[in-house]
Order: sequence, then C-alpha cells, then structure tokens
Amino acid sequence: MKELDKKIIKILKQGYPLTKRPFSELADILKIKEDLLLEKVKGMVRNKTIRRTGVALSHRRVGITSNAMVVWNAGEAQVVKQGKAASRFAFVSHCYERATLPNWPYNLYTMIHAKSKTELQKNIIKVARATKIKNYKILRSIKELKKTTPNFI
Amino acid sequence: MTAKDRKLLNLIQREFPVVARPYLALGKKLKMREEEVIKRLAYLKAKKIIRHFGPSFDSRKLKYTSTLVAAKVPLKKLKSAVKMINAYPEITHNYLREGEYNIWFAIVAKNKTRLDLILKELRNKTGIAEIFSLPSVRLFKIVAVFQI
Repeated sequence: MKELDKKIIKILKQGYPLTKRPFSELADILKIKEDLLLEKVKGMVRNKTIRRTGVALSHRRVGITSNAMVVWNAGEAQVVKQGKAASRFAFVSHCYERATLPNWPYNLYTMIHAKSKTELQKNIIKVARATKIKNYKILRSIKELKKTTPNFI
Repeated sequence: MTAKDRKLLNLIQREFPVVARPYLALGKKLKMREEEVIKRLAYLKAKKIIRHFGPSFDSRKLKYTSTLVAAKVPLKKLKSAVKMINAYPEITHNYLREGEYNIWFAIVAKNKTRLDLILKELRNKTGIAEIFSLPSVRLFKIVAVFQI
C-alpha cells in the first residue's frame, strides 16, 4: 500500500471532524488538497478497503440490550446454504463459518440482537427454522469486557 | 434522544457522505440545518451513543489477520486473565459468556506471526491451556447497522 493511503487510513481511523468541512480539515493535516482526499476516500469505498463510511453506534445505548452469540452445528455440506439463510435476517449482524474443536462441533457463528430477552428468543427460533438446524448453543453475553476498533497501521 | 436524532443515526450509520460538506448533505435529507446536524452529532458522540465516529475498514483488504478465540477460564483466574487479554491493542472485543467456554475475544493482528505470538504469550501468562483460535473459514455477513 502507498504511503499516502496509509496516512489517510490512519487519520480516518481517528474519526471525522465535526466541522463544516471535515475532509478539508483532514486534508490540511495531510498537506494534500481536499479534492484529492475525497477522491482517495471514494476510491477506498469502491475497492472495499472501507467496508462502510457510516459510523458505529453503541447498540446497548440505543436500546438493543439483548445480544447473543449463537453457534450452530451446520452440516459441512449444508453450511453455505445455512449461512446464507441466517444472514438474511436484519437482526443477524455477523455470520461466519469457523473451524471446530474437539467436543465443539459448532461451525456456524452468528451474532443475534434484540431489544428484549423475549425478542431475542424469538429471533433465535426464526434462525433455527430458516436454517433447519436443531443442534445449536446460545452463548449470551454476561459482560462486555472490551470493545474497540482495530488499530490499523 | 429525539425522533430527529434517531433519523439522523439511522442515516449516518449506513453512510457518511464523502463530499466537501457532509453535514449539509445529511441536513438536506432530514430538513435540518448544517449547524444543527453538527450540534446533535456532537451530543450523541459525547453521550457515547455513537461509539466510533469514523468509517469501518475491511481488515482483510488491509492484509490483517483476524480470529475469534474461545477460552475456558476458571473463575478464580478470571480477573487477572481478562486484564492480560485486554492489555493487547490487537484484541478488539472481549466478552464474558455463558457456557463452558466463558471468555470469547477477537484478535486483529498485522500478520499471522504476531497473532500466533499473542496466543502463545496468553497461554503462558495466564497458565490456561484451553485457549483456542477459531479463524473464519467463510464470511457470510458483517453489517453492524441497527434500525433504531
């Protein structure tokens, strides 16, 4: 990656300034033109280096208080179909196939969110029905011990 | 939080306009003045309703390596182990969960060597052997956007 791209990522990581021309402010620090910075950022959106320009909320603080990681024993042959079925729900934020462990056959991982415990339970059942997986485990979060964004570059 | 704040958050979660005056662009969509948008966002940031006021990058595109780690941490070791785990800047999320594997954390490291070193160090420092890395085989979805 080019030096300038690295610098841009590093400065964007600190967040958008809350001034009328945030990109102009960042461009000044980088000693480049505002137009060049805007083009570079758009380029990163196009090539998907930036997954999303939107900001991240604290879901607990906006009322999404019941959250669970639910792990599913998806058959190896079925996992792609089941992963896609689970991903269709808006309340599923993350869905991955992962390696298994001895005595831990779960290979499909989902993060499921809701505004209450009852709603969370209903959402889990919806995913179970859509994926037709009977063997799953609900790992409710007891406590958030750390949550930050990665420190790239 | 007002109804207007909710509309603003629903919008700005999905997309921050990459234009010279993004707050003006957001304001036009919501019939709010640019200054008002900035003021409300400053408030929502200060209240920590907005957790990260910047873009999300794809760690794989930046050639970073990531994994999810499951650990069986005995209760009496919990406090000290969590302290050791959270000390790594590469460890971005950490949760105490129900079940036999009670500690689950994510690592985003600049390469596999560094990631493996962190795991090795943690096993040594905590004295816990049951710390398992579960790298993703396939990504189906990652969209942490919430309609509020």
